[in-house]
Amino acid sequence: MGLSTALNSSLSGLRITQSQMEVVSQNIANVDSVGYSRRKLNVVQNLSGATTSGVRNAGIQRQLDALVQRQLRTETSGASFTDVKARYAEQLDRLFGEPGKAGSLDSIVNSFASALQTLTTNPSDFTARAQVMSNAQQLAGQLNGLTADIQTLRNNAETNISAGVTRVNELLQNIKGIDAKVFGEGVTSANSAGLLDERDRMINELSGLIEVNVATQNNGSVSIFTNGGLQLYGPGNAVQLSFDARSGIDSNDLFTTNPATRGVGTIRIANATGTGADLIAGGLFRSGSIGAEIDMRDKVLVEAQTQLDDLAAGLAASLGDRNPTTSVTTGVNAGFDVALADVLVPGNLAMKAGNTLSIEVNTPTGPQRFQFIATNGSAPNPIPASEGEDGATIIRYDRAGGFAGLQAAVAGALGGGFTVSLQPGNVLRVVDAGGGNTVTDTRASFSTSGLTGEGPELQMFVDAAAGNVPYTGSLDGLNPQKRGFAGRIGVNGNLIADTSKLVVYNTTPGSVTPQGDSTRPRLLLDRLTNAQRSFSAGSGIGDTANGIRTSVTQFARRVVEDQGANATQALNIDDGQKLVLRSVEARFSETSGVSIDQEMSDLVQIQNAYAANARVIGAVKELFDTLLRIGA
Amino acid sequence: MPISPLAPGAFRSSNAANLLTNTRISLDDLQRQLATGKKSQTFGGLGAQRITSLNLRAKLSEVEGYQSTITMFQIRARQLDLNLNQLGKIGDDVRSFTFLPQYNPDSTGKTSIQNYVKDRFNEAIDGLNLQVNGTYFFSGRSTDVRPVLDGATILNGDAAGRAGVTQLITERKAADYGVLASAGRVTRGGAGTNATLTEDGTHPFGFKLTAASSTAPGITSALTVGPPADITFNVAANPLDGQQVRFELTLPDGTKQSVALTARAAPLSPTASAGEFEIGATPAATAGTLRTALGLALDREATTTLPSASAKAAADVFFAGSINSPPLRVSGPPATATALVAGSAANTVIWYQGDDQAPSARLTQQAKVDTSLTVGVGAQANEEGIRRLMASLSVFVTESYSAANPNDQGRFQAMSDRLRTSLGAVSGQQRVQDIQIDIAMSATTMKLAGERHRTKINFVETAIAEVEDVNQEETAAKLLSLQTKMQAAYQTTAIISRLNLTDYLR
Repeated sequence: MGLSTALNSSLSGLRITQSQMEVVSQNIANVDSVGYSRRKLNVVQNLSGATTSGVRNAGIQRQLDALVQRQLRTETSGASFTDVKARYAEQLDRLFGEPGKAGSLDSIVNSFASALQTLTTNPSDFTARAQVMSNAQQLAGQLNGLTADIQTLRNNAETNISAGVTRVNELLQNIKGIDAKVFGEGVTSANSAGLLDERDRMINELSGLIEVNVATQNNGSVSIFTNGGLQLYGPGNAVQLSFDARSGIDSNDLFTTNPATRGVGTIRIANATGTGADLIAGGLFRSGSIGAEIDMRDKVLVEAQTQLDDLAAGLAASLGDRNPTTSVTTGVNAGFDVALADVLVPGNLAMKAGNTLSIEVNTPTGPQRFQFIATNGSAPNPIPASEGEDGATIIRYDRAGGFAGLQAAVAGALGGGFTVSLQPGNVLRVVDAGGGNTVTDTRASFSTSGLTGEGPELQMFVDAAAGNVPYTGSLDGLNPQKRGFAGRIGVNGNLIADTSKLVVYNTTPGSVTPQGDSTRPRLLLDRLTNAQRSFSAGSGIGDTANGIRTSVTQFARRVVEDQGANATQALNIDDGQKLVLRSVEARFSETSGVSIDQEMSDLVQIQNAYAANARVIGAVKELFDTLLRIGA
Repeated sequence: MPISPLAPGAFRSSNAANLLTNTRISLDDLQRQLATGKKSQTFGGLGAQRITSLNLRAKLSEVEGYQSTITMFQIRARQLDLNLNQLGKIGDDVRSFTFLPQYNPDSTGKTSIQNYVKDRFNEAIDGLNLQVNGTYFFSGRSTDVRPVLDGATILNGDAAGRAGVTQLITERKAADYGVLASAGRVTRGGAGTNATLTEDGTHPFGFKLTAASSTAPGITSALTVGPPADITFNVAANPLDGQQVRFELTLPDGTKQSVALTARAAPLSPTASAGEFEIGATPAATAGTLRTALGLALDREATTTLPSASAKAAADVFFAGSINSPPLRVSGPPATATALVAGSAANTVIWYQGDDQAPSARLTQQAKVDTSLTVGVGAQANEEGIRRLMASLSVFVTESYSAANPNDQGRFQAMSDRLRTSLGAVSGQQRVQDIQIDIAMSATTMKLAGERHRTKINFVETAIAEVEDVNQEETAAKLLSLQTKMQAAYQTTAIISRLNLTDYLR
């Protein structure tokens, strides 16, 4: 022990205070930096043998609570998910217009009904007819517009997924780079804090895109897994994700697990052999903003589109479909007659591809419901239950079988408790055969094909984009006719060319419909506002298993209502999630955040320590001076 | 607000800023609410009550639709009422002239009353051709078709050779009259003690023999109903003076004419009225005078009552005609015709061009004025009441009289009497006034429905306001309190941000 020892100790003290000063200055400078956690210089005594000789730097330590950090990542994933969903839901809600304003979907539907009502009072009035046509075109235009908007949102989602995947790849590469540096040369655990912070910042950003689990190895390196257990990053090895983004996505472009029919992009692991497993099909993206974008693209927006398609289909079919059923009694047996012959071409089956015939019966074992759906042969076999109504037994009927084939199909389905016969003129008769069996209801929905000659029903709305084709709800071909119909619906071009057909439904000489006959306008109004029809379960409105039976106008209101409710729900969930995130952030910041006050008080301490150390050196110098004077 | 990456050191200040921003958003929203008066700009923002708003708006639109329907139909009903009233008045006015008709045929064979009636006939046609906004009110469902042709065409036909009502009347008169020897299409006969009258065939023309009787015990009457019908009077013993034989003729228009012949002791005075026959020396001789008297009586009826009845029948048929059921006309040479045949649009004027297929004229224009209330205010010019009026007027107008013909004043009088009867109320037949009552009933129904709707609109509008609108006072109060809170928050934030140890270390 001597003065020189004291001098060395003080010098180490001066050095350490300078280092501390450096840390404090870094802390203060980075107070607003993203991902920067507060650092602290660990100071320990410098032991030489058993004696303390001054002080030494034991490394810079990040102030970090690993548990809270893990929570923060989970909640960031969740909040990104709800945030994206809320923003989409809000946009969707906005699409449907402002309550009570002229542009909102419900008021356009209401105006159309009003115009029809006016037409019933004065069917020959050209202004009233023009009004109906203009409102009908506006309604079709609104449905087209909404479809375009929804598909634009889906395209946005596709772009965002693509951008997200690119960012994920960048982040994984960056993490790999940093991880390599942390354990590379020249980096010690004492100065790795900055790199670790940077790595954590990357992982945090990654968790906003995908929900990840991070496992930290003993040596400080990390492995990153998705929630489903897929390893995205292991030391030295970052996975490369690929996304085959599609452009110009429309209602027919849906996600399927079959690459041949998939209309939208999917995420895969890019590997040496080309591409790996379909990760979206594997359900790996359940959270994070990518998960939300996928959810919007493949579920929420598709459901909204289905609602519009249902509305459009309901609109076209309810105004244009005939129901040629009449109740009939033969002796003690009762049931229904269905005129199967096409009115215009009596040799043809009036039931066109996609048209339906529903028969409800009551048997001693309980009620049963059958729905026959016609096809020209290329509809899926069996037809999925979601295409049918009210949990009915769906029976696919190939039109090639003709009248007799249909009779046989009905007879086969109903069984022995009922008599199914073909009456002259190809009228299908379904009556009970006693024994406690009853036919409770029979409903046909047969599309008309022209403007006149088939009764007061009117093909007012058609598949305009497909070339003024009548809407029959056909399931044939690659895509069912209903899919995306809201984007293609238009007012029948032949009707636009001749608006008198809003009134005139019969042009047979001798029984020409007079121009002032309100039969057709009244039927259209009733079909629009009153008549009940089934809407599929796919729209998510009503009973999710069975769909809903309601009027077209009421369904339109339910669509608007549903989107409004979705938006509110999404916003509420997002609010809740943000609150959780904020509280986790607050807890994380308590430990890791830089507090200027804290740094200031540390600074005072450091200044004092520096001054004290300097004072000791001063004292040592004085002592040396005294000693040297003695010798002089 | 998107998720921003966390800067732990800045959390406190960013959190404070975040809270302030959120409050600011609330403030802006309240300000918007105050300015627009609306709770939200989206259905989502209306909360759970959005379905109420949607349903109420639909209800409002529906009820307003009913209301506008009612307005339109009330205008129609008022117009119809005015015109029907005018038609009724024409009938009444003309009828009042028939009580004391002035007989003054001019050079064209028309009396001044006939000219007056012709004017009113044309006026009625104008009334039936009522058109508002391009819509004809008396055409049923064919609202684009002018229901009634002009008066001249209806009366006299057109240049294309289509027959008007005048020609149909002429034809029918000729068919009903037949030939002189058997005027009224009844042949007279009998020999010995018999006197017989026989319809000359099975056809719709001329007199129909429908009853015969005798007050003389010695004279029996026998009616063969036929067709063709015949009557045989058999004089078994001479009647006493004053005893009568009677028979009844049914005329083409369905009216009945009773003829009585009174037996008079010989010699018959020269001033004896036409309805008398001389009691002869033997029943056979009496039968001879009876035969003569029967013939004279038929000849007289065939020139007085028969023409007016023929004219009425022809006019009724003419005015019953429409596009899909043209009027029936005499087939073949009238004097020997035995059948009526439907005319065609090519050879006969069809006075009513409108809708003739509807089951009910009233329901040709119907509208829903409430959820389950439909009213009809349609009308057709060929409804029975209007048709009867037009037929009656046309019959009166088409006749021509000559001052030189002594029988014509009697014919004119008969025409006037017939007109009076046909313009009056006939049990079981519709009158113009009945149509008017129907329309008035519909109008009342609509008025009551309209009142209900007004109440409902008020109610629904209030209910919508409750769901969609904000309470201005409440919003203003909220805005003020939020403003105070924000001021405090801003101030506090400002103070806290200045509260920094740095400032106190000198």
